[in-house]
Order: sequence, then C-alpha cells, then structure tokens
Amino acid sequence: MARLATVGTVTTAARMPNLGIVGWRMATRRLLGRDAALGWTLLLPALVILGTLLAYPFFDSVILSFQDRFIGKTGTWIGLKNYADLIGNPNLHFWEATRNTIVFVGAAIAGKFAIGLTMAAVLNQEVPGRNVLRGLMFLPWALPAVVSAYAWRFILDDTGPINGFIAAFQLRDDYLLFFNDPKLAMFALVTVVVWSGTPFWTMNFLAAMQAVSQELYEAAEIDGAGTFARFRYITFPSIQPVLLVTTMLSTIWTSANLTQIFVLTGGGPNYATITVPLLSYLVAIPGKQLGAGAAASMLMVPAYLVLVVLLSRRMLDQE
Amino acid sequence: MVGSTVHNAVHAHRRMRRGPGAGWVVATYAAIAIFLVWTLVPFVWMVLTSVKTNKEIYRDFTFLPKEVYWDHYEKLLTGRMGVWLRNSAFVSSVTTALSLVMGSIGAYAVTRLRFAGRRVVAQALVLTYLVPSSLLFIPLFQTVSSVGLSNTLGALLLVYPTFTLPYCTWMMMSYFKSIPVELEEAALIDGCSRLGVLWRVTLPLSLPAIAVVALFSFTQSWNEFLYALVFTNSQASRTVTVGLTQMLGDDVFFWGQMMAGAVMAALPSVVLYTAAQRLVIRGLTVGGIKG
Repeated sequence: MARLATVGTVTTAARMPNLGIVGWRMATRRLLGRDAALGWTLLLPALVILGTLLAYPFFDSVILSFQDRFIGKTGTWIGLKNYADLIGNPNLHFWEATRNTIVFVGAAIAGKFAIGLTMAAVLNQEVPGRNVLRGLMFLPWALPAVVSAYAWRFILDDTGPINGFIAAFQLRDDYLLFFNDPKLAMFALVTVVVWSGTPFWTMNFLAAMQAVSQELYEAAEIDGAGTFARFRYITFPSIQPVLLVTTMLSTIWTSANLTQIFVLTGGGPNYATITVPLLSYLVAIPGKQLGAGAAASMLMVPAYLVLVVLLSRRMLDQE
Repeated sequence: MVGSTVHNAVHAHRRMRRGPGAGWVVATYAAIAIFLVWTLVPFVWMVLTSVKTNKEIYRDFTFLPKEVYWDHYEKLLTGRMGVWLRNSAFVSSVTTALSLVMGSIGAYAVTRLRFAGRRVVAQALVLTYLVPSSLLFIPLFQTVSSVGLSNTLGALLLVYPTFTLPYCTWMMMSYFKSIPVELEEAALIDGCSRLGVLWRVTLPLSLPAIAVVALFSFTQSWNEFLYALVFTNSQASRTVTVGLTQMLGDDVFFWGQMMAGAVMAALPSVVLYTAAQRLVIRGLTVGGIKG
C-alpha cells in the first residue's frame, strides 16, 4: 500500500534542515521537490508523446463524436445525433455489435481462463522438460495476430485440413463452412482468440503459482490434504489477485481486438460477428464517417472506464 | 491405541509425501499431450503448407510434402514481400530505440528524483498503458493526416510509441526500484551528476530490463496491425502484417503463398521470444503486472 509519493515527501521533509529563516529558493524547492527541473525535463519527451498522441486524441474523439464529419471534409456540429442514430437505427447494427461483443468477450475470457489455469497447473508440476514445454506453449502469444488468424483460417477453410479430413473419411455429407454460418463463425473466432491469448494467462498464473510458499503445501500434506484440496484451498486463494488482474487486463484487450475478426470474418456472415470496435472501424475508415465511427467507439468507454479505474488502482497498489 | 494412531499418522504422511497419486500423474501427461497438440498444430500446419505444391495442398491432401517446395517463398521474396519486411524492420527498430530512450529517462525521473507531481505522472502512465488502440485510431487518423504523414512510415513512427512507451516506462520504473539506491548515492558523492549516475550506474545494472523492453517494443511494433492498416495505404509504406491481408485475391490458390508469407511475418517475433524466453516471462509477469 505504500504509495510512491508518500514515501517521497516523507523522506524529503525529513531531510530538509529545519531552518528558522527559509529563503524563497528553499521554499520553492520544498514546494516543488529538490529535483523538479531535471525531473520534468527527463519526463518531457514521454509526456509530450503521450499527451499529444494519446490524451489529446482521446478528447478529440469525444468532440468528433458530436460532429458529422467525412474524411477530407470539415465537420459540422450535430450534437447527439450520431449517438441517437447508433442506438435508434437498426441499419447501423449497433445493438448486434454490442451483443456480439459481449458474447465474444465472455466466451473468449471463459476459454482463456479455463485453459490458462489448467495449463499453468499442469506446468507447475514437476514434469521432465518443463522449461521446453513452457516455451512451446508460450509460442502462440509471440505470433502477430494477423498470422494466427491466417493460420487458423486455413485450418478452418473449405480447402483446409478439417474439411480435408471430413472428405477423406466421409464424416459428413457436406463441408463445414465455418465462415458462412453465424454460430460456427463466432465459434471459430473465439477459438482463434483463445488460442493466441491463452499463453499470457498461463504465464501469469504460473508465475503466481510458483510464488506460493512451498511450506503451505507441506503443512497441508501433513494434514492429509489431497492434490485437489491443496489446489482448492492453497493455490487458488493465493493466486486470486493475479486471476483478477489478468482477467481485467485481458477483458480490455480482447474487447478492443479487431485484428483477428477483421481477418477471419470481417464481421460476417451478415453482421453475425461484428463487434463494436470493428463497427467503428468500418463506419469511420471504409465508410469515411469519422464522426459516427468515433461515437461508436465512445460507447465502449463506460465499460473501459470501470475496468481501467479498478485496474490502475490495483496495479499502483503493488508499489 | 495411541501407538496405532501414531502409526496411522506416519503412514498417512509417508503416503502423501510420495506426491500425487497415479491418477493425477496420468491426467497430467494426458493434459500435456492435449495442450501440445492444441498449441502446435496450427504452427506445424502453417509451416508444412508453406512448402507444399498447390497440387499437394488442394488435390492430394497430403500430410507431409514429398519434397520441400520453396517456390511460394521465392515468389514472395522476389515480389512485394521484401519491401513489407524492410518497412516492418525499419519501423520496429526506430520505435524501439525511441521508446527505450524516452522510457528510461522518464522512468528514472519518476523513481529516483524528488519533485511534486510525480505520483500523478506515475498513475497517468499506468492509465495510458490501459487505453486500447481501438479508441484512438479514429482521432489519430485525423492527427496523422493533418500533419501530412498519411501513407508514410512516419505516421507509424509517430503513433507506435503510444503503445510501446507506457509499457517501457512502467517496466523500467519497476526495475529501477529494485536497484539499491545506495549504489547511486555513492556515485553522487563521488561527484557524478544525476545523468552521469543514470548512464554509468543505473542503466548498466538494468540490462535485463532493457533487453525485455527492447524485445517487447520491437515485437509489438512488428506485430501491430490496426494502426498500420488505417494510416498506411500505399504499396511503398505497407508493413508485413497489412501486406499479408493484401495477398488475398492475387491468386485463386493462395494458401501456399499465404502460409509462406505468414511464416516469414512470424519468424522475427517467434525467434526473439524463444531466444529470450526466460527474460520475457519474468518481464511480462513481474513488470507488466504484479498480482
């Protein structure tokens, strides 16, 4: 809980000689801290970059969302019309996108959690070649999202191995056309996202598991706890904070991810896999309506805000 | 009575000490087998497909190619793929260098210097780490075109630090904190300036963190797709991830080439991660988030 600045100010104050007369220089130093000039200078490049290319665009996006603005033209202020259209006009597919985003994120997070936890539990055992296994299972995370999407798209393609297998053994009368069926397309999407995202979870869970004190396990063994009981009553509670942080982080990234959807389904068939970020892309860039696209992306902000506030508090508490 | 209780306890203890029962061992190995198949099949299939002839891919449906067929790679490398790879390498290297410099000095300021407002800055940095690119690409599209960088690699150099810099700074911050401050104080007493301390003492001690941060920045920039798709729409400025999506439609039977392209696009990241695996895992789990 010891926060950065509490430590900082306390030590600074303690080091300051308590002079009867304090010159103005001393006073400003006390007010700003002894390294103010150098500190801000060193921070300047990062702050300029993040201020102009992250903070400013974010607020710019809020303003943009109240405008009717075409790419290459100046915008006109239209108040809440972009939002009203998104919510009220079914042709814009906003509610489908919202529903899909919830299904997609929910299923993907559940999958990553279940597989990540099991994988970490397995890799936490003393099995021969554990480091090699860990390295191999980490691989999908290193792949560019585009590459994992194409690797899977070929596997699921009508000329790919799954349909080749079906044809060779005549398992079905017809091919499984994954990207023509709404349910199969969503299933395929979730599979790919789970495949490429799980290693991040595994590695976090595994690191947390390895930090659990061995003595706890030994004590539990003496008390007669079996493998499952040890997991349930020692491992799980110990790694729970990591489970929570990983889940929140991954929820943000999964919901924002549109690369794999773009490559695998493009939102189809018939909008069955379009998500809110993909909708905002399609409206803003190919559709050239920057204002409406910004409004769509802004509608994700309330959900992000909750997650970001919770997360940044937790991440800072680690200090 | 007492004797038998003690005996039972010791017996139970011995049994437990032998570790998990046979059932659990079997389950563990079964799980490993399943996870290996799940993880590796897409890789294996991608690599195998990239060295098969079109006949093998589409007609014969062979598992292993009769012989390694390099034509897909050759066609790509004599075509546009070379430019894409060069673009990606350029953007990723420059982004990495920029993020390393700006991230290190910023992190040093926040962790080691005493001044008002640094707590707020540290919090703001965490916040920026969490802002997804899907919220930023639309307004950034405006920014990029208003400074005249549309369809140039300069657009990416401008924008990529927005996702590498927060992580770099955050990671360097947590590493700097782990270095004993006494080392720096000794150098200060010996007459070293603040920047001298950073250059001669702190950074040399932070090489593992620098390696992770460099690797992370490089691969994240290399793998990036959305910004590259939105900001660069010309042949000359295309990076490899966007290039791959442009290969569709070149040819009806494109999977051989596509898989060859995918292998080449994946190679740098996979090689780097595998080489520095230990460092990366520690960096991801300790620096990025700590439970």
